[in-house]
Amino acid sequence: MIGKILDALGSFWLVCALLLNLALLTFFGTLYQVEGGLYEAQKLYFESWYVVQRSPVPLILPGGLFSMGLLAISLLVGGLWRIRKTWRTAGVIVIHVGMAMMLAAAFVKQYHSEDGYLALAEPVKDSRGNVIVPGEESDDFTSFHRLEVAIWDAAQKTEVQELLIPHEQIIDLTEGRARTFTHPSLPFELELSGFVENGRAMPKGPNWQAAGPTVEGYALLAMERDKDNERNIQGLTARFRDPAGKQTEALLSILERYPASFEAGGKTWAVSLRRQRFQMPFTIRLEDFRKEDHPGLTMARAFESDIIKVQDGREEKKLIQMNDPLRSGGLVLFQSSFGEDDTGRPFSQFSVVRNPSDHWPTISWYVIVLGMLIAFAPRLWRFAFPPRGRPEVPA
Amino acid sequence: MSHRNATAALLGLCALACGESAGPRVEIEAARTATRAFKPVLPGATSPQRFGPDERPASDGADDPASAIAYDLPPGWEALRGTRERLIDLRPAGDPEASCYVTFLPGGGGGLEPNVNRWIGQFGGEPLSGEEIAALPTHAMLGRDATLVEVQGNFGGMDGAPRPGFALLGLILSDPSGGIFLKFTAPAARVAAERTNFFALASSLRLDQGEAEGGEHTHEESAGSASGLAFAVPAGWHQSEPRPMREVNFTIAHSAETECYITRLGGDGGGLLPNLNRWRGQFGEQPLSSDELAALEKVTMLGQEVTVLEVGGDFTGMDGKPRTNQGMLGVAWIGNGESLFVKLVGAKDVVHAERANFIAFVQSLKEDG
Repeated sequence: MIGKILDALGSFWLVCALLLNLALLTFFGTLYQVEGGLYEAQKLYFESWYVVQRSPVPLILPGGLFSMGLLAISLLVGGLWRIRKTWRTAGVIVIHVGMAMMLAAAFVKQYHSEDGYLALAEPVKDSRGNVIVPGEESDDFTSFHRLEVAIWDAAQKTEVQELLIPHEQIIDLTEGRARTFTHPSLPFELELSGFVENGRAMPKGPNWQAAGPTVEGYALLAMERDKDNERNIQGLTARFRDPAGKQTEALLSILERYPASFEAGGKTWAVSLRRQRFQMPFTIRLEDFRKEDHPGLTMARAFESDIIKVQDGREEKKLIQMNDPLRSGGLVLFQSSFGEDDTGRPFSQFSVVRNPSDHWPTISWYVIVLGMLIAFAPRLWRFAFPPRGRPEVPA
Repeated sequence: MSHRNATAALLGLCALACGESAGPRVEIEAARTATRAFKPVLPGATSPQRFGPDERPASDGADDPASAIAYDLPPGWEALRGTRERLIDLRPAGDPEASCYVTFLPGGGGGLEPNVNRWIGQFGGEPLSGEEIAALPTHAMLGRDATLVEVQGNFGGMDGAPRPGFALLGLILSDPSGGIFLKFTAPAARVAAERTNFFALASSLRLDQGEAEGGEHTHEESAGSASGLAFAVPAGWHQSEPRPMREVNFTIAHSAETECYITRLGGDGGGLLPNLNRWRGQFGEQPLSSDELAALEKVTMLGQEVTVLEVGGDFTGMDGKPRTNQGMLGVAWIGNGESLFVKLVGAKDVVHAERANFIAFVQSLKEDG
């Protein structure tokens, strides 16, 4: 029985079906991306167990996660279990191991990586080149898509102890759902509800329906979700309740100027909805940012940043440039973008990735190359140096 | 009751049954120590403080929203006091059932389609598809084609009380930078009678160039100084706090997106022609030839002749994001050991309308002390 299952898993036809399914996912996922945006397309087609598609063709397909997971198993079973194990097939076995490793790397990245961005403003210099305001520094980076609610004692300015409500406990608070959060260190409980995927906190007018309560004349105006998820402005309703029964309501939005605040237990507490922050084991300070345009255009040909990495009191000067990231402490910082902040101050932006399987694709590439050498080198040898024919037996 | 509503009702009942707290109770597990506070906290900050517009320094009254857009009052109409949301609030004189007002919503105001369908929904109508909305007629407003919405029926938009036999005439201008809405509601007969006046009003709307209602002009300038420079502040301009890289900074009262600023750099700042061509390049324009450069208007700034460059079109800034219909006026003054750059940037029509003010400002610049 187990043998039959393994035979089925390692069959050539299963691999063909999975590859065909992946091709279909790529095709329909690409079509969906035009309307739905990259983030949603990735979630629906490539990071899912199954896909239910209504247009352009109604379809139910195994999702990318399922297909790639099964393909990895199939490659291992087919390449290790079913294959005849001889010196002639040794190369093919190694190639299968390399391919399965590459898929495993994707699986690990999917579930165990963190990625986001870090934008740092340039130093401000006077006309003589003296630094008036130093470049910005940070020891954390911000997720592109994941949210969190942070709660902290507003009196803390440094070494701030933050309590964090994770993304998964926020985004399902739609359609009347609510969740009440407590913690032994908090002298109040916090109820969250009314999650809006894209909405603006605006003065409530008579002609629009608010997505939640009106607080001090402001309410959340729900808007259509933008296909570029980074542009969506998520919002929530928060209710604070202290033990005396005092209840205060506030709107939370990732676009708020100040966090919501609440007096309880003799302290002022701050609560903020924001994109998730990830701690780095070092601090990065921007020293200089340079960009070079294509001749006659404002399109950047190359851009790079001088940064100072500060770790354990030690400062190291580093250069991060396009295609030459900084790798340190399990993190990779790529030079990804630049721009001006709200005050017109130029900033440099880095993509930051913490991926435990960062090097696996490189290793799997070496494994595949090794397998190909084992598989094809003898053939090349035989082609280049064909064995001499048997001596003819004289008649 | 739909499945969705039933679920919500059930959750509500559960919340009541469980006491005051709503939804499941969850103990917070995640925590971290941050080096510094995520954002400054303003204890007791109200919603307007947390979400409202940035408070700017007090000005000479031009922050009054009604001064942002000028118009010609249709004959037989009266102007009301207006509100924070209603930039202009009018009605046919003495008709309490009629209301005609202009509102502005930032960030596209939700977009064209939702707003058209919101208005239609206020009359109980079925929403239109994107194709149907694209096919709606247009009318000129603020120099652009605004989408015209006409609905009749049982109006329930304002306070929720139904008003049968009402009609709406509305114009919507919507783009990613904001939405401007001109909306006239009244009994259908009144709307029909005032139709010509409504369109005349729409056509008369214009960005206020220091113009008082009724066509009178004010040309009040004030003196200002900053960063070693003295200057005359044109009417309608408001000096704001200096920012990094912007030693002198102005906002233009009637256009939040339009700013004028002076940047001071060491040396020649890259030179005259490269800077003018860089600015042109941001609008996709080709570099200037020497003949074209010579043909541009020259004015005197700080005792030296400078070239006035005006560019308009689709702008791509340092962030690489294109913005449509933008304009820029700029001069570059190259001195001995330092250079000054004066730029006015914003919506193309506003920038063009401010050209005279810009040149007057540039010419008024003097060394202070």
